[in-house]
Amino acid sequence: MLLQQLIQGLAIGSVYGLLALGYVLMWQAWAVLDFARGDAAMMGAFFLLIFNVFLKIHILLAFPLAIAASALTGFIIERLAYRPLVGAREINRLIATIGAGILIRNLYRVMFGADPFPFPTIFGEHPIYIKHLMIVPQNLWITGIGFALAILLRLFLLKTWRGKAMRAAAQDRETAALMGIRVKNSMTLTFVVATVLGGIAGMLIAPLYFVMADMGVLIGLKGFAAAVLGGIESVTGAMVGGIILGIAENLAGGFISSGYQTAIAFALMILVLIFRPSGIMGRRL
Amino acid sequence: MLELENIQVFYGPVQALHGISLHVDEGEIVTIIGPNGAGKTTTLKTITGLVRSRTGSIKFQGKRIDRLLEDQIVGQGISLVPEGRRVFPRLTVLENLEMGAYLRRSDRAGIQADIKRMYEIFPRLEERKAQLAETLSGGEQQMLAIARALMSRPKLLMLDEPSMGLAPLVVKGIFEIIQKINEEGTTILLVEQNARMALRVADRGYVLRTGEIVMEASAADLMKNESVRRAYLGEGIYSLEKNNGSVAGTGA
Amino acid sequence: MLHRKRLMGVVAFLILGLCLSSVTYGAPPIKIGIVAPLSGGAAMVGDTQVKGIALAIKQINAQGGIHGRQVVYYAEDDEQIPAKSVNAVNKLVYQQKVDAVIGTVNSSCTLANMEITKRAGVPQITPISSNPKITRLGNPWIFRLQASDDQQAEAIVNYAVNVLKLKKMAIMYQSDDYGTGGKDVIVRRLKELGLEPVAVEAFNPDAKDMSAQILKIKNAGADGLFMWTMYAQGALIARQSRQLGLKVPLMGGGGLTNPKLVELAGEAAYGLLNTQTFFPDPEGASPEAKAFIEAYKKEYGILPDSNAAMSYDSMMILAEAMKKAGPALNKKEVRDNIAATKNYRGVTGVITIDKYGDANRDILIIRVKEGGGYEVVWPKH
Repeated sequence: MLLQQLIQGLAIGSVYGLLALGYVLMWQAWAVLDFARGDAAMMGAFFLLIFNVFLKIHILLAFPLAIAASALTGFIIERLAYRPLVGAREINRLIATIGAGILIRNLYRVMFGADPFPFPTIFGEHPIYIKHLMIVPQNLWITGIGFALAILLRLFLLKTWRGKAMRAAAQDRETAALMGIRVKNSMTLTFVVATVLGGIAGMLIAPLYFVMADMGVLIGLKGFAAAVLGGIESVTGAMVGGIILGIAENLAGGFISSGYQTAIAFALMILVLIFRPSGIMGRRL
Repeated sequence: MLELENIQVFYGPVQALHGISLHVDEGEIVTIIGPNGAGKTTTLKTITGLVRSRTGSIKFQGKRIDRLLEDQIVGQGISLVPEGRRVFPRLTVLENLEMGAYLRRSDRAGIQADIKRMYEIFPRLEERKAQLAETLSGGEQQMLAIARALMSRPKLLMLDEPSMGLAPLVVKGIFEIIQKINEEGTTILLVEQNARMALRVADRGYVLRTGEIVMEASAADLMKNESVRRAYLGEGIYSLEKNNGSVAGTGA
Repeated sequence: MLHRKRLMGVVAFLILGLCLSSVTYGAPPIKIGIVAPLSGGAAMVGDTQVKGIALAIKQINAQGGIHGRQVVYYAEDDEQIPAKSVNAVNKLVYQQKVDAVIGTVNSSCTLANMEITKRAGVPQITPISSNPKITRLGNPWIFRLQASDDQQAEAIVNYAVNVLKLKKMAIMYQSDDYGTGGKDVIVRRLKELGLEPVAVEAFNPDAKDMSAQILKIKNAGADGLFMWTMYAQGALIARQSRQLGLKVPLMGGGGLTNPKLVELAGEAAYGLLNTQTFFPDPEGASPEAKAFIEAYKKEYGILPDSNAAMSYDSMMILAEAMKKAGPALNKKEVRDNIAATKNYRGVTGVITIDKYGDANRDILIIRVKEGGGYEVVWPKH
């Protein structure tokens, strides 16, 4: 029972982690808490729905297409909604991200309606049993892809010129410009990467939770809680925070009371904010 | 090598530079001295393209650079060590150095060689290469900032207040390094409030006050100049007493 | 003096004008206010509510309206948020000055907004809000057509215990008025039948991951699961139960009935049982229901859901009450006539309003067939 709850928590936790990565990236490069992260997940899920279900494109092709579409939308949104506010005050930018999220959500609601769309299982949903332990292949994939992406992102930020320049630009835009780094391009790239990561998170949960315009709201907030939990400056922290949150939720549901699941997630976040404001991982990348 | 002509810079409605002109010749160490808020930092930022002039022109090696993008200006061979050092706090020492070489990132071997050279000039940096820059002391951060600027192999190195906030002994070390860099062939434009130190290493100097150049001369001549001594070399109070108030208003 | 005479003349002229205009243009229309979730998670349900009412109004107007007056409607969105629902009804009552209100879907919203119609003395019918409390707060202005959760929950529990012979049942409910209301009745009814639920688990109305609850229920060894929620969450529970290996009958209330449930949950939904008062099966339907299903399909090109049918009946019962009330359309009189509704043959069955304002009616139990679609399993014919 305990182990089973842990395994369930791990899968949903890595989805939270992927969303948290988006918050971390946006915080790093834009110094803004970007509350439209959950809607990036929603858009990603819709793209996969459009390509795979509506246009009947094979999943192996639909995935890269949906990722490309996510990247393109990220680019357009950055140009229209984020770029104009680069120099604005922090609170204005924060509000702008909330506004962008609401706009995107309602746009999708107008286009697709408020009803959920079913999504076929990609990874198989019939459980495999190892003695009494039940493992759903889908969850295995979600966890695996989540971790793989986090590791890739970390390598990108630590090992590549672009990644390092991205971090440098995030820490000091003016000085980064003095190094010859094109700061605005770097910020655009960050936004696109964050949008794609969010989009992939959305694609991963599409078969689990269906696809609908509002699907990003709660999951986006959970991602935020995970980012705060792990440390808003840390890639590792984002994943750790996501996993802890996912497991805590499941344990709370299993052993305390399922009515308080969400409350426990946010209580955990508030506790961390009080006692360790820099998060579990602090400032280590 | 570098020629500024009639540069006027505004921050909103406030004019920071009132049409200044200056030039730096190849191989020189030129210093700009002047009080706080005179426009020294603004002058350097204008050269790097971080702020833009409304009038006039900036030429580097005979070519106009005032309409180029920031990264293109850096690409011409101009590098700035900004005021307050501005190392990237949460990048390691090594990563900071690499960022200095960002524009020549395809030149792997060259970068490796330059990093090695920087470690020779600043052995402390090698000891701390894996540390985050924010954990360095002020003097070490200044060394890192200079080394980072050198990583782009600049023809002209500009330094903004390299002595700020550092202990006298550390300042002395930094200035020795600046001279050494110059001797190896890099032209230097130095902005300093510590005018005594600056004039000691410089060939020529400009005095900037409220956005205007009020004096240009060889460093030796500036050192001897009465009003410079009074205003910027810390001899103001002494002179004032000696002259019994007759020079009031020269502004220390 | 001259002054006063001129004033009198103006007034007389105005009165004449008013009389003329009413003669020329007919009586002002009767205004029906609709409050429904037109956006947000339940927008689909709000949409069929408006469609059902609009169809009824169209038919009423085609037959000459009520007391020779045409009927028009104003629809306000409440997004399934109680505060917005209150605003919406305020707007309908005080700005549009409607003669009656129909709505809304969400029980929490109806519980909040019915205070406005009560204060203003405007009759209100909620087609499908099913929380028992709605009609038990002593508010004389609110009526309900849907079988209340009390009736529905009792019916499904009876079926589970008496027909399916289940013993160890678990409950999952969404943590709002709708879910909690249903859960309370199930627990009470089980107790009356001498049984105790083996697990009672809540979830947020917008929760997606139900695995903690399902694992707990599975571990408790349940042989049946009641879920008191709407169809989208119902589909999630069905699917995740299947994934996590919980293979017991899934049972619930009318909120689950929706073709979308099968679409979303696929095979996992087969065999799901729930209570219902209407479903669009022209075969075996009453003549009234058949006529409605055909008219609705012709108007909108889709089959009506139970919500559309309830909304249609709400409007029709309201119209009957208004016709009996006389041309002045006194709101108190209209209310009294709704309360006096007896054996009205609606499209959702024969309806009698009881002393609480609830519709007494037969309750069906329907089952999701293998391959989709519903069949009636209770009462057996």
